[in-house]
Amino acid sequence: MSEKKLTVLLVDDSQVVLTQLESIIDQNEDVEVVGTARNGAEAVQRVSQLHPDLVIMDIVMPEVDGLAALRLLRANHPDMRVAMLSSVGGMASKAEEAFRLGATQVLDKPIDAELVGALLAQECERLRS
Amino acid sequence: MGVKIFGQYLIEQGVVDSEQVRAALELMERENRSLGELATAEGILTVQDADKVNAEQRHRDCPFGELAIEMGLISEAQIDGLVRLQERSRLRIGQALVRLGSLENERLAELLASYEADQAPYRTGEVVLPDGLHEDALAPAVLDLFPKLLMRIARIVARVGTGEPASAVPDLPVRSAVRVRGDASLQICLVGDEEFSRQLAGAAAGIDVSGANRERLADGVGEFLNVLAGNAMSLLEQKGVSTELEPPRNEIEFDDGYLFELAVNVGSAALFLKPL
Repeated sequence: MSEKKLTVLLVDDSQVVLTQLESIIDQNEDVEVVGTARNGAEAVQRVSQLHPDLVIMDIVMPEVDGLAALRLLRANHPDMRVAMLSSVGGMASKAEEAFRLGATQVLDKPIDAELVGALLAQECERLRS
Repeated sequence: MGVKIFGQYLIEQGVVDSEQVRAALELMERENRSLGELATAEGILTVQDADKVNAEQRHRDCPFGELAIEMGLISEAQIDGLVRLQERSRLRIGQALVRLGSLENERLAELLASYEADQAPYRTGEVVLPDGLHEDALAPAVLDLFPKLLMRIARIVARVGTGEPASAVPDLPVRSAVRVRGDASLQICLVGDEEFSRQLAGAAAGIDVSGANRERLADGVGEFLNVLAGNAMSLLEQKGVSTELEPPRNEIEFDDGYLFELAVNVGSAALFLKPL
């Protein structure tokens, strides 16, 4: 029987970013994208339905943004692993807030496939240990 | 009229055609070495160390040399030496056209002088803002970062012209915008033809967009604007200016803004900044 795959929910209002993340994750057979969401409110709802092992979520999104969604996720799923993506990751106010809210990582945009790959490897390792 | 690169000027003057310019650019791409390549060729950095600096550069608006010094990989004196070497050895488009037999060497100096005269109104060492943008703290950072990020992310060479008040933009099919609000507020819009937008969207999103429709291209270009705005906002935050970024917008109002003509080596595009 094969080992359990790491399940991931992707959250970004940009379809091209979702496609990019999916194509990076497709290269890792130990990881499976179980769903996508286009804003923070959808993300919170999808997490409750899908219970992913990892959420990769943009900070700047319409309606409920990533930091607000992270705050909501923390309240209801305190152990949820959430990595934030951002073009404003260079702003201490955003990055520090994300870490304060328990983000696993804050990845800068444009997305670096190697960094996402390393994040996935680390989360797979964590899942198995 | 307007901002242009030397190759465009030569085409306009009927001296060379676009195929000759393309061939010259390819020759330059093959021959000109980056600071990292020079550092490894000179035995100052290992390939692995140069790769580390390049990887870090994707996330920070910082020159290669500055980062390499900060990372403790190279000294300031070594960087100065490499910059001088790079400058001495750099093949420029005029020389490349001469090498390829597209331009007579005897005409080069005369054409460069006429090009400089043509471009003098647009060339400045610093970012020049139109009157209506002087009060905007974000505009100088956006205008300074724009060509640097365009080159770094998409390998697109761009020169930004002087901004002029405008209530319309060139009729180009792919339009994206982001809005920044807070202590400084600005709407940053980029319009481009399909060639420009395809190269930028593909690079910004890291995916193949060859079959993408205009909406998808606008989405990818919006990601670039996100990165541009985010970098500018980060610089401002270091000076105590607090801002928030709104998500990319594809429905944009082009009234009462400033149009910056762009001279680019891929397709055509224009930047439109609107104080909010």
